[in-house]
Amino acid sequence: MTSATLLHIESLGVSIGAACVLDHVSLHVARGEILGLVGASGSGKSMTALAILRLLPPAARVTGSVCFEDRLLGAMSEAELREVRGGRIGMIFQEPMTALNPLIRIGEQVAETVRLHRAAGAAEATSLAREALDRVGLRGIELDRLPYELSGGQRQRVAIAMALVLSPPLVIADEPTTALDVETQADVLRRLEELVRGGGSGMILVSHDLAVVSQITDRIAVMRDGEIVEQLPTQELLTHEHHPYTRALLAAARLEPKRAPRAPDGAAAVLEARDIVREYPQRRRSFLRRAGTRRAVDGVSLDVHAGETVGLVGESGSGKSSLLRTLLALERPQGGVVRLLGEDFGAARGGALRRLRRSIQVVLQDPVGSFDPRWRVEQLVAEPYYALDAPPDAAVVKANVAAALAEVGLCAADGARYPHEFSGGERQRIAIARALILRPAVIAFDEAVSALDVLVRAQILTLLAELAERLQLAYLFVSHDLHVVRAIADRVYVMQQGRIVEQGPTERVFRAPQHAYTRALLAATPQLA
Amino acid sequence: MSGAAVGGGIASGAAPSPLGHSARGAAFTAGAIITAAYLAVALIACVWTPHDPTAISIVDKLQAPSLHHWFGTDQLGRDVLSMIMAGARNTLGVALLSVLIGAAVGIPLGLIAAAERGVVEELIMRANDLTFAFPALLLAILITAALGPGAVTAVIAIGVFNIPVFVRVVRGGARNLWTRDYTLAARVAGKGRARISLEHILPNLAALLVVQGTIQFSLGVIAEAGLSYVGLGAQPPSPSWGRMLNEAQSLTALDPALALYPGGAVVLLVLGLNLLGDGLGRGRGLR
Repeated sequence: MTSATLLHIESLGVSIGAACVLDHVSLHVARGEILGLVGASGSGKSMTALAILRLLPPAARVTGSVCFEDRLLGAMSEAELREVRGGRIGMIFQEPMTALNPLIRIGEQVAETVRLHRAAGAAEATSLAREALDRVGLRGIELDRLPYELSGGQRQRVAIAMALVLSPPLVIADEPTTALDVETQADVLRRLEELVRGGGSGMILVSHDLAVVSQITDRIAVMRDGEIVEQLPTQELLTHEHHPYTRALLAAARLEPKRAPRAPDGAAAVLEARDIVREYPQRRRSFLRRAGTRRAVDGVSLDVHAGETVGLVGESGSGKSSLLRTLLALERPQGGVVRLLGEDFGAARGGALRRLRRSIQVVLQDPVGSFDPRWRVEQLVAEPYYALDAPPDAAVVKANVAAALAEVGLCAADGARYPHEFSGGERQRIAIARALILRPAVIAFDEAVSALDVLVRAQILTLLAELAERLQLAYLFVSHDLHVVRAIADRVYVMQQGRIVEQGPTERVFRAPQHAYTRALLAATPQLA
Repeated sequence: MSGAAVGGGIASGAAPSPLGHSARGAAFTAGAIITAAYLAVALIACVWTPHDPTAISIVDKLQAPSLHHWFGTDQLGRDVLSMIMAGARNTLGVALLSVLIGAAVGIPLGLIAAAERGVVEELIMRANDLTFAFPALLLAILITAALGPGAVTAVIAIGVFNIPVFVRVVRGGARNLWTRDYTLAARVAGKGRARISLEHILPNLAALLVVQGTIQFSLGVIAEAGLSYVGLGAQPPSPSWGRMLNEAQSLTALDPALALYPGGAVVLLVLGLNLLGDGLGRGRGLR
């Protein structure tokens, strides 16, 4: 019948204008095989996926050949290609928010793929859609739900159902779990593997995270700057480290602890929270019924001591962000006290509030949204000076901004540029400089490295550890990623449904977790062997 | 999100149009030239017109265009070109002032509604809906009852009509910006809502406001012509395009060209302003 090789890419090259995006990329995928494609952002992984499907921008020039099921994709007409896309090759994208049409009911979206590729009636398409949704773990979900009614994990499952409904011989998944939290990620990965292997299909799994890719792949190709630097069976790649770039990726994915954990040596608590309760009103169901409340934070107490790094771990929806906003005195709790340097921060107003704000700063997740796009970096970094009663004069501010930028590994000249001129990692450095400028006692980090790829994440964590050491800063590090927290925190709190379910020194909690939820989180987190 | 994705987002903002890049640029340039030409004419008319636009000379009535009277004369022998020029001064002045009134009242209200939320927002927006429900014409009739007809009446009526438009646009844009993390960072720096509104929200709405202002300007031109057509705008002898149209209506059998000049002036100006607004919106990456 047909040969064992499903997809054969021979020295594929793509250039856009003068820029060479892909250079002599050769890959092959056999039936029933899962290939991992790994590299930093900008390495050409996604471009390779798009080049296979001939979905490149019109300006792109393509050389080399892509042979799928013994047919050259480059020689196909647009109509034949449409038949292949979705029908013979299923595609799963990273962003479950944008991959679904917000106005079309999920059953209809999945059924549409069927009707586009097969002469199937409405009833048959719907029953196939039902079946596909059941298989991806959405058993019994109503087909008439709209995407906004679903969680991120559910949406990504719908996207997977769309890609797999016709059981295509090849599936391309581009960072399919990057936007999901760990437990959902583990489940989605497991189901993807089951479905692909069970159906005898091949899959290309594209990701920046070796730990994720190594979970289910047979072989891994490592990409850098549009070239494949190494291609080995997964086990071999993990045990023998060949190429220096692979070594760097592995080290970054392993997330070695960045410094020796320190026990709190009787230092005073700089930030204290006692029995915090934060409730949000729920939307009124009817005009007559009273609006209920949802308790996002339910009696949480935590301490951050001087010079200590404290991790706060939990899934999305566990109340971490609500708690953080309360600790930053951006929202008032319904119950409990927040003390900063021994003063009541939660109830402070006016001048007292502004004075206390100097002692706590924040670094946020989104490296794009964290900065006013119309402000120069030097203005952005100097913004916390507003909390001073008498800001220093312009020359001092300028010198301090330059010093803060130098502290985070940028140069003084960067101050004159705008945030959009920087990469994600550099922008996170700018956010750190902004948090440092007033020399606060505590800096809170809200998923500060979650949007970064593994190499950049490792660099930022190293920088943070070094700054904490040198400047004697205390950190409150909020994240859903256990390994990130493990790499940097001295102590951790584990949060579930608004409550702290476990706390203790990092190593103790990770070695011998007491609470079932902590154990479940740990089990779900992908780890390199 | 990676840097590449951000770049892609910006590039996709300038969505490929069926016109193509250069044609869109040309439309914008045309709009800018037309608008600038009108502004220049209106400014010149403040100090000079070829003839006195109010000077009546019955012997010269209904003349065809000539070197002496480029656009001819009307039924009272007034120079039509001079009247069009003076009318431009009048119309542009009224439209501009009413945009300024709408912006001056509407922008702060929109910013406050977005910053305060809750009861304050509800009050502002419901009052806004109420104002929105009154057409400019009805407002003008109401104000005429108090102030009498005139350019001031037109300015106030159109200005009030503009307020809710600015409130809605600003509130919508500002609510979106308030969800950005940089407003959170500013609050952590101790800044209050008012200061964040002025330093972070308003500057980021500037592009949106310029476009909306241009659209309101062109609507203002039409509204002014409409009001003076029904006699609620500038009063005689001060010339206005709307009244010229009204007067030309009874003379269509005698001299149809008399209606073409003011009508054409309105159409060309509105076209120019719309092209300009469209081009500005695209140029600033607004959708």
